[in-house]
Amino acid sequence: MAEAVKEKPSSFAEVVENCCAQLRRRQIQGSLPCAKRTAEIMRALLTMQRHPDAASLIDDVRAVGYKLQAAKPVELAVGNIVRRVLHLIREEAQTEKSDSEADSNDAVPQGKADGKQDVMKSQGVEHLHANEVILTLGMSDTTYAFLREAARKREFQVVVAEGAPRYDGHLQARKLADAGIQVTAIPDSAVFAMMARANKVLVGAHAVLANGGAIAPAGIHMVALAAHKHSTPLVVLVGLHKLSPQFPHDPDLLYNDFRGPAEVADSDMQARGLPQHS
Amino acid sequence: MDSKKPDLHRTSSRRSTHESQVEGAVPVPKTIVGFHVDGASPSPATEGLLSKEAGRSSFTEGGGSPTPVIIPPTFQRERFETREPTPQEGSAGASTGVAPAFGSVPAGSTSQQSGEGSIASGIPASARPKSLDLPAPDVPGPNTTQQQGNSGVVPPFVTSPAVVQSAVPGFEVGKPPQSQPAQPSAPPVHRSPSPAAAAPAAGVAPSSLHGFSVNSAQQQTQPQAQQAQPSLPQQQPQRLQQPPVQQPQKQQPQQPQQQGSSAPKLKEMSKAERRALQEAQRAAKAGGQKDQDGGSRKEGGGGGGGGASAGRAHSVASSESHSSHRGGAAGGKESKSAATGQKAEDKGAPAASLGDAAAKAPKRRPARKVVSLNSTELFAHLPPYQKVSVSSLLSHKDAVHMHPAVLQLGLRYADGTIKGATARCLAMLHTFCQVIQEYVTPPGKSLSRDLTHELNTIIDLLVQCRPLAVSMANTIRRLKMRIHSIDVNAPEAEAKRALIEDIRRYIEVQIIAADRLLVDCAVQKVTDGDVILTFAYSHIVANVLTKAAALGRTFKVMVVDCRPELEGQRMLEKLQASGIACSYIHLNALSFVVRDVTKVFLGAAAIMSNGTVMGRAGNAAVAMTAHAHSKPVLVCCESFKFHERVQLDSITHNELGDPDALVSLPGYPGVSPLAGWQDIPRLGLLNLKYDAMPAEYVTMIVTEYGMIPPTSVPVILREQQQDASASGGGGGM
Repeated sequence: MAEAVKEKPSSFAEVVENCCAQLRRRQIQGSLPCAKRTAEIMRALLTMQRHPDAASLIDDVRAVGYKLQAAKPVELAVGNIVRRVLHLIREEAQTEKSDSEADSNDAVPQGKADGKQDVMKSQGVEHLHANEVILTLGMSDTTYAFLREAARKREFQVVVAEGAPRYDGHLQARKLADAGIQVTAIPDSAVFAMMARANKVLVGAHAVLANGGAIAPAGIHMVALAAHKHSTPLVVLVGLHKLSPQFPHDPDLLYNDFRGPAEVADSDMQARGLPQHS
Repeated sequence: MDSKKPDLHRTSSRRSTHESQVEGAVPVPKTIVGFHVDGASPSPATEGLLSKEAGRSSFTEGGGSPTPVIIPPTFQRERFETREPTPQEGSAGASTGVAPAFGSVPAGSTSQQSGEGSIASGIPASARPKSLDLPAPDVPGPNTTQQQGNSGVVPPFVTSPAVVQSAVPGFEVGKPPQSQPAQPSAPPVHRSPSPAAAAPAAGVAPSSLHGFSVNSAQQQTQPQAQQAQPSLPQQQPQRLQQPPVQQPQKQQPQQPQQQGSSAPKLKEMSKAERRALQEAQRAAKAGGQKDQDGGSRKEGGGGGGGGASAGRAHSVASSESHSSHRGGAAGGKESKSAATGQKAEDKGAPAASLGDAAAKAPKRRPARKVVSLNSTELFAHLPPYQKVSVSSLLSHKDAVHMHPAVLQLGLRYADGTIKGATARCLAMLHTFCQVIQEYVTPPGKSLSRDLTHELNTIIDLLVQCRPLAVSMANTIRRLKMRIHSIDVNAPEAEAKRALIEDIRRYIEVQIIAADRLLVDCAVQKVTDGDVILTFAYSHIVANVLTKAAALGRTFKVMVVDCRPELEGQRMLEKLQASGIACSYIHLNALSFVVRDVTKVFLGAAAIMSNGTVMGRAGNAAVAMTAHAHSKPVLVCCESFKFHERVQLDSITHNELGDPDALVSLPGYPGVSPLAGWQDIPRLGLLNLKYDAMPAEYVTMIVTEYGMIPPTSVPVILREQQQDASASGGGGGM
């Protein structure tokens, strides 16, 4: 399936279908890869099909966008990219009234990546002072890049909660320590205890919603509650592709992703719960 | 002077008989009592440690401790800084920090102080291989050796250069005439308190040395050698009480170079290498002395030491720096070295080079203190986690005389077999009953005093295994009051019987009956259709829920669990055995399920007088989340766990668990990235056992007195205290 996408696909529909299948099977993990993939699809749409005017282009983009988003409803970055593309199309149509706006589309994915880097470089130092204690949960590339940039000019320490059952906090702790930052790894249960000594909480998020809420890996709600209790500022670091105009009417159902219970309860425990027949 | 050195040694503070023995024709295999690293290269049988502890005061009897000394060179450099003898027993089986262990290194040669075996100059000298300009060895040397018997042979790292510098600067034993040229390494040398410089001065026999014990004379010369250096080394003299070293000046230049060549870090050296290094240093020192004194004593010692290896070491030493060693060390040290040299039979050759490296190591001064950015240091006031093993427990100084039930109990605490405040308290009381049952008052002592003393030693041992829980502390306090009130004239059997009776009654009233009342009270709060949330394992909550199920209520339970202890699985098993429908989630998923929960039942390890609830780590997060969703939180806790102190956060009073427990991920495919965290300098792991839940999250506390709000805890405490004082010493606990 992947090869079909790499080569010039026979039809654009196949390309879209491949991408949807990969999204459904979780073969594309993470917001940024999904966003990039969506941008590629959009570009392919522009190059592979001729559109007489902006209106038809918008219709096509919207149709493809629905398909992609339906493949993985929890991945809001897909919809965000599609909306951005639509916005760009409308802008171009307004200004130029020309046929193809392929160039505008190319700028989308690159611009995002660059923009993020600049944000890291400029703001990391602004928001952290010396000898600060930063609390974070789990693994986030954005947070990692942010802290690493800030560590060039500031001396601070990071407390990383492990983020079970993913345990990606271990990876975050290791990477930060290897980057020369003083790190302490704690289990999630100690977050409340350590919050008393944390100056800031820096976390990444899966998506940020229109009401300011964030969707993030499990455990973030308790970190946020603890930060609120201790009046510790909580900063969510996200790339622009994660900003979503959606409102969380029922976030726990709509924007949640469930994984297998084996990560939490091994099969012995599950077997004990089965009806016992003597 | 050199020839006199041995005499000086002898005349000065009483040499340990060890020395005298050594001086004898037949060298006794000298083992330097040092800190014993569990699992290190095989050392004589463990009981040697106990016998060593017992016979510490009498350093010799030839039986001496067979345990060889292992003093990594890096620590030697810090020895000079502490003057006071470090506790010896720390060495015994101390697998924990080096600090305690080092203390135990006795100064061999000198023993002004009561016979602590002292590796004495042997060590410090050995620390610096042939070259005296090794500051580090000197530094410790002065302390160790001079302090005759100063166990500070290896003072804990606490030493700081500042300490030395504050010493009397003007005190110079005698300026070595040619210290300067010989000190290419002077700058680094003098950094280390030990006056390695003194070494080069060598020959100078400080006239003022007489003030010091002979042992230090040797070291003193070194400081002199470094007169040119900042006063720092000069202060050494007063600490150094070794006989003046008469090293040829040329030695020093050699040494620094050699030292500079390579200084393998302590970590990089294997244990064998380290030991070889030690032995080589000792041998070198012995060899040096031998050269200086040219006494047959050394020969005898060398021969006794086991000849070939010792000789090899000696030859190596002498080749390196002939007569470089402070002659002072006297025969005793040297023979000691020789004796120990035999241990390094196979390591004589490499030891020499290692010695150089090691000698250089001490020169590295500990960096000046910088602001620590390590979160784990927030908990520096708490005892660090110590892995307790059977051998480490048995090497405790009191373990020999301890009732085996106490040792068993301690081990069960340490490995988690007995967990939970109530269970630990119960087990402790049962053990106390056993101990009291078999206790016999020694003649001439009063039961209450001696029993209290006995209990104190038991408690010390238990604390070594695992810090006391609040429930245990409360109980011990009451028990001591009760023992204190024992009538002096009462017959022992009767007093013991009454005491055990009171303990049994305490258990019955405060734990068993209290639990029953508590369960009856809390069960009223479980109604049909409830979804009850509980966290980790609490025996009282489990009892409440099983009782409610037995009464026929229909409810569901959500068990929240957290790493690394995963006690919720035990709760899950217990509830499932009672046929209760359960769900099991990890702590991070709590915010998802809490909206469906109707009540939260939690246990507690202790409740403070401001209503703060100490529980398993994660308790506070559960209560906070429930509170945020307006769910009632009921804490079930017997009153004997109430404590009158006020706790503001989870850091002031807590317990540190095993950091390695975070690294092991059972069932996780792959190895955690944290594996090998000890080797990563900037990575620390923190495993907290307890958590302080603020009173605002607690809706109600269920005790055997009924249901009370968190603000009523001090009321209960006050009433308990009044009861206790009213009953005075007469009644039960």
